Amino acid sequence: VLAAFWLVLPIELGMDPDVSSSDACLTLADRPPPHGEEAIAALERCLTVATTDVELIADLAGAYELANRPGDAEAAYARALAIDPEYADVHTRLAALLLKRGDAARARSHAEIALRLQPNRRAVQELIARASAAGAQSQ
Amino acid sequence: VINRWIVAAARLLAAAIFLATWAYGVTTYSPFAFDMFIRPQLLPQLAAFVTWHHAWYWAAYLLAALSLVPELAGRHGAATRWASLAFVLVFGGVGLHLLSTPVLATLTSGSRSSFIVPGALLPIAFLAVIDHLAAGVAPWRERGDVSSPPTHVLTATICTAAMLWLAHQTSAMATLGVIDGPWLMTAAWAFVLDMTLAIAAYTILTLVGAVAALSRRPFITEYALSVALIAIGIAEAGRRIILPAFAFSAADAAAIASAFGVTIAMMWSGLRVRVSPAQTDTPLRFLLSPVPTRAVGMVALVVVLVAARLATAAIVQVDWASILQTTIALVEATLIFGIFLEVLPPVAHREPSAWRLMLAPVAAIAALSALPLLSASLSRATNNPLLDAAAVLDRLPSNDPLAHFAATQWIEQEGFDLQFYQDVMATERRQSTVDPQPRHPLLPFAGSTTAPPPHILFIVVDSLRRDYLSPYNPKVTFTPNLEQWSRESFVFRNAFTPYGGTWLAMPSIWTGTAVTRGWAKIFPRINALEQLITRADYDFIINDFTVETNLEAPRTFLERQIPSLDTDLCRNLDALRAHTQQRPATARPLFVYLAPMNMHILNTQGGARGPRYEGFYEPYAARVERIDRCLGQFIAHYKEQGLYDNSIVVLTSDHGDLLGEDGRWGHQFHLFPEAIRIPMIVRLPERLRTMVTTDLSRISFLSDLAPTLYALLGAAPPGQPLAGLPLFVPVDQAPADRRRQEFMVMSSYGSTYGLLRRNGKALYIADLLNWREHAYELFTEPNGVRVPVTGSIRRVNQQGIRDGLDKVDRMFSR
Repeated sequence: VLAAFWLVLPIELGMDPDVSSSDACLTLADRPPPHGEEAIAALERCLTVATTDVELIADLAGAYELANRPGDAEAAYARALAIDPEYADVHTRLAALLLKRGDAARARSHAEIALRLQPNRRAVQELIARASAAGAQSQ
Repeated sequence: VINRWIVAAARLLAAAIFLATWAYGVTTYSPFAFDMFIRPQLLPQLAAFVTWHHAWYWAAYLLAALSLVPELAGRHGAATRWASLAFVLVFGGVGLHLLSTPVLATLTSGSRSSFIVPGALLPIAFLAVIDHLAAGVAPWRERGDVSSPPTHVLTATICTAAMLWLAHQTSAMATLGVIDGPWLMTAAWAFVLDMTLAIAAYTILTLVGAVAALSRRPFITEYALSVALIAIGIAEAGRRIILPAFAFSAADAAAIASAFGVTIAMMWSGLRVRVSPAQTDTPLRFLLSPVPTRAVGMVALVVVLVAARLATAAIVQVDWASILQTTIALVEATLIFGIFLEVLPPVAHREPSAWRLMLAPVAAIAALSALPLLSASLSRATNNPLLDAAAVLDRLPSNDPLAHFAATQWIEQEGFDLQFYQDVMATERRQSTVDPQPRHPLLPFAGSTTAPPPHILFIVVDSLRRDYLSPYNPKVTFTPNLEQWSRESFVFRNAFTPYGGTWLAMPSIWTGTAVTRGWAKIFPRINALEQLITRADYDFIINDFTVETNLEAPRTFLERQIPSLDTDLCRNLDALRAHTQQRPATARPLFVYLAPMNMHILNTQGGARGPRYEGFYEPYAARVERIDRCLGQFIAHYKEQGLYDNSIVVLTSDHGDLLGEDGRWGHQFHLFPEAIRIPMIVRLPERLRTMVTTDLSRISFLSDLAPTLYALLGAAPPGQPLAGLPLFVPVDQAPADRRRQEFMVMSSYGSTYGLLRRNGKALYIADLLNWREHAYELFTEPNGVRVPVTGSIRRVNQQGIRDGLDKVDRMFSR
């Protein structure tokens, strides 16, 4: 009977279904941001597994920007901020993208959030100034 | 009969005093426990015991000696008389020595304690030998060749399990006030686990009986084997549950626990052969039944159950509560089993066949195997994750500590890597027991000489939770002063302690880097803040009980007479105000370090309640409100004194605390978000404030504070590996990116490790004390959400923890 206890126990609890590629996806964001179409495909694939990995999403947005897909980049930045609204660099990058796309008001709004998270930062202050100037010009 | 019970009572009282001496010796033997509990005089009662130890010793000695009067009179034979005389002389001599040379009061962590630990057990063991000598062979001759009937053992173990399960579930229901699906599922798990534990005990005891039956004298053989089992059980509980939580090495834990187990088993056996009534007829009843009759047994049953519930309720919010709860549950189970052996006398009938007796263990194993499947099916069917096995196991410690103990023995999560466990434990033992040697000496502090350094005021409130402060949680309405002060300060929103628990967290502030449990021995060589204080010629004021005794710089200790647990921020600030008022205006700049204990869990178990604290743990919130008031008043006064404008002020905590979340309290072994997320608010003088930028949402640590002060004072970083980063950089620079790094966090006291990834938004916890693991995403305030641990999460994070431990190893060559 004692042997039975030894042989049968301990009981192992089951685990949530795993995805074979997710090890690589979990660590993908730990490396420098990839770019190029291949990288975009890999990032998009990973984001079906690691849906809340804001670094991956930000990397994807950056890759979209480099691939000249600003609409996708903007949507990806917005997706990252929906998960982590305090991601200062994403606010800054989105503000710069919006400014490039001519949306000075939203650019300024995101840059101001970035400045609250990174007070006094000169690059962000300059971005706000550029957005303000662009806004004034368009008016 | 009365004489026998008086002797037993005297012996137990004496043993309690000797055991208190032993416990003190054990505490001083562990450098960690000595620095944690003894040096800061955490428990004033303990200090009083040490001061009056010689008197306590004499009380114990006289009680023991008086209980030996019949033996000294020669009523139990010459051998007993000589042994008793030897006891009186030897331990009387020890008592005389103690009168002139107090021992406990002079004990410091070190080898002298290793003599006290076994020495304190000697009188108990000696008395046990005398008891056995006095009893002679009569108890064994009277009882012939009887052995314990398996059905009697089975009935008693099952009744014990059922009774304890009922008691635990009644308590849990009373605490929760609601019967819902998760509670029912937890109760079902607890029932099966309690029963499995009972049946495992029954199987072992039956095996002992069977082995004894093969011998020529079954009664004494079964009795002796059962005494050995008790010794092993106590030793294993000490070795596996209690001592690892106090950073004892495996060898020390095994030696200390074995000596303790053998002594307690001998003492109990000695008392039994003295006081057991002659009519007890089975070895187990003779050994374990603590009551003389069934009627007394019924009363004792109620007394033990009530006492255990009261004891558990009293310690539920205390640090180390889970260890105490498990210990209470195991002692309670043993006592109730003994009582049931008496209350349910063996029935004289033919014993069932071995095959039928095997049914119970087989049924227990089958039920235990089926439970996870049942849990998973019901969880899926009802879409309720709280019914899942992992969630049930999380609730077990507060629901039924005995079932939790069984679960830690028999339930594992699939793939919980044994190799990982062994590797981490081996590294931990090495880092806990071997004196570290820093490979990289501190670089000399060379700050700017162009401007006088600012005053620096550090307030590290022990156990202060960030979500009880309005700058971090808009639902908080009781910290208006902090709210106002935070508007002129930098509120780091994503700050963590690298270490759950004060013992490692506090030195990590001073060194600005990773530390190991042996930090105290090398502290002057790695202490970055002290170097800054000395080189920048600060007027150093402190109130702290963790690092202070390891400092070398001249300092003023505020309110040294107050025991550490009673240190109060409001009184500290009053004392500081008095100190600063006496200083000349041209005095050196101030460096103040205060570590008050207002919020420590030992201080927050009662107090004010009210509607303004709704949604918060009220006694804790009330104390936060008081701190807020004192801080507000102090800052106003500090401004009036003209010191504030040129001051760096840091408000933080060494760790958070669990305040009943999932039935958990305290912080000692927990790395849950509530325990490792901390407030970190930094106010800079105006001249510095406009020159720097930061990233308030970037993950930050206590170990960033020392490098931050170096940077703010114009000095190069202290230059140690694994050092923190300055929180501030010049305005034209980008704050260093940490989002793609991973950071190991660990408990100061036990084998719980964690990994923070993705800017602190992904937390994995490996609790090696309980063989449990947890994963959290910390995007949502206040404390994130729990997510399932997948194979990927486990693999990536366990590798990160291994890497983290390797880095610490490399930092300290040995």
